[in-house]
Amino acid sequence: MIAQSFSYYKPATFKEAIDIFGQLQSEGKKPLYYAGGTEIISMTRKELLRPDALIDIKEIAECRELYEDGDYICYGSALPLTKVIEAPYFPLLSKVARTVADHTVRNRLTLGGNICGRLPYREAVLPFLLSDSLAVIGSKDGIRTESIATAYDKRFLLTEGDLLLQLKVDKQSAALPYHSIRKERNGSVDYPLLHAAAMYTDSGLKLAVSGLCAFPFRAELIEEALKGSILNTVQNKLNELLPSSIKQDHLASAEYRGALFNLALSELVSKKGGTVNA
Amino acid sequence: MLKLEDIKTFTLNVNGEKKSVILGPTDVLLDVLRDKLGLTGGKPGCENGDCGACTVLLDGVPIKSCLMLAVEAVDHEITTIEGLSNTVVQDAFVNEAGFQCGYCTSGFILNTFALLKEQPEADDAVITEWLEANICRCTGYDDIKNAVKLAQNNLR
Ligand SMILES: Cc1cc2nc3c(=O)[nH]c(=O)nc-3n(C[C@H](O)[C@H](O)[C@H](O)COP(=O)(O)OP(=O)(O)OC[C@H]3O[C@@H](n4cnc5c(N)ncnc54)[C@H](O)[C@@H]3O)c2cc1C
Ligand code: FES
Ligand code: FES
Repeated sequence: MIAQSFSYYKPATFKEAIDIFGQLQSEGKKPLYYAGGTEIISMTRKELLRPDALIDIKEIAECRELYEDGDYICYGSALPLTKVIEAPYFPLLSKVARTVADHTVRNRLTLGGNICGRLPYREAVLPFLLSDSLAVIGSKDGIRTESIATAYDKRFLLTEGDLLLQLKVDKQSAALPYHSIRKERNGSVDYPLLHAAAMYTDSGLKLAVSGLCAFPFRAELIEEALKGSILNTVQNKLNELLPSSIKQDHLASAEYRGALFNLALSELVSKKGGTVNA
Repeated sequence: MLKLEDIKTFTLNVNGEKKSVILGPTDVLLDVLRDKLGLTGGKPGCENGDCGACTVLLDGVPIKSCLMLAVEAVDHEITTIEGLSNTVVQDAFVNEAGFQCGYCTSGFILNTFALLKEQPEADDAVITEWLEANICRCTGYDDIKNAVKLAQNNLR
């Protein structure tokens, strides 16, 4: 049972969604876009979240699209992860998304909900951080498309009321060789202690990480350091190369997570030019 | 645009029947099935998406009904364990003793039913991937796996 009150709206177009969001805000209410609802319902039930209104985005055509076209593959933000995983276009995305929650939850949990959610893991963002991807964002001024490099810093930089409509990935990036490593404490259906994903290009290794710090990130400083130094040196000055301190919680100490990361880094580097796509 | 700001009467399609039910925006599907429609086969376990005791099928696809608002189910087909009777999957759970206390069983059966319908030739990896969504505190899972295998063979 949810012991608080909110109203529910299901707009048919993104414009309707943005308009109703703005209207509710102007009435002093706190609306939330509602996608798979798995986070909103569990947090609202525990009274960790108190929305006045939910705006269900699952009927919005742009949010449900999944296609390849020209140079890009397009993923609607309200696609459930099972649909994202089944699509044959971006193998690393399929592999990473398959590790989120469990199969039944993935039938509802959406790509956009995972990426824009409040939890620190947001694992489905990793493949997008590694590829030349674009975020298609709906706002009161219309639709804008931004590179993920500018649209994401620790989290998606959405102004309140903005709606992530789609993510687009360059087909060449999606086809790059990859490898990823996920470590959990309590079996595969668990939040990750560490999830490190790499893609390999002629100029080096691209690396994105979830679970290690309080947010998922593209590890650009480590990528650069690996070009100029031997692995050991990079591993020894890890703390200088991370965007924030290593997370410490009931699942693992910071030291343990750091050690897992160094092991993962060795494995990811060793795969360069060798067996990948696993 | 569908708006639900207060309570309103809707029709839910449950187990092939149309049921008229008064819904509010905060009503969770699991609670509506149990408390308003008397379909108590889906169980509240963790109410956090972890255990799978509340699993029902939405248009044939397993979902956790503790994580869905009831109003979202309007215009969809819901199947609860009460909607399955004498299926090969149910027989297999009985024959292989795939349950003890039974609290998790409706979830396992519905998930298995959907799996074998979608992928009759599912291999062990696929079966494990689907059934990882359900937790059983009693059986140790071996009898459940045997039941799924038996159902799969009997459906061939
Ligand atoms: C049982 C369970 C297991 C989980 N396991 C994992 C895991 O292993 N790894 C992991 O990374 N996460 C995991 N999660 C977390 C989950 O991915 C997030 O809670 C995610 O937010 C859920 O997506 P949703 O579509 O259900 O989001 P919702 O609950 O609908 O929304 C979540 C948040 O995102 C916002 N939002 C949703 N879509 C958009 C959009 N298109 N534009 C702007 N804002 C939007 C909403 O306003 C809300 O604030 C798990 C969750 C559950 C319930
Ligand atoms: S009660 Fe729904 S998953 Fe546990
Ligand atoms: S039979 Fe008791 S929880 Fe599964």
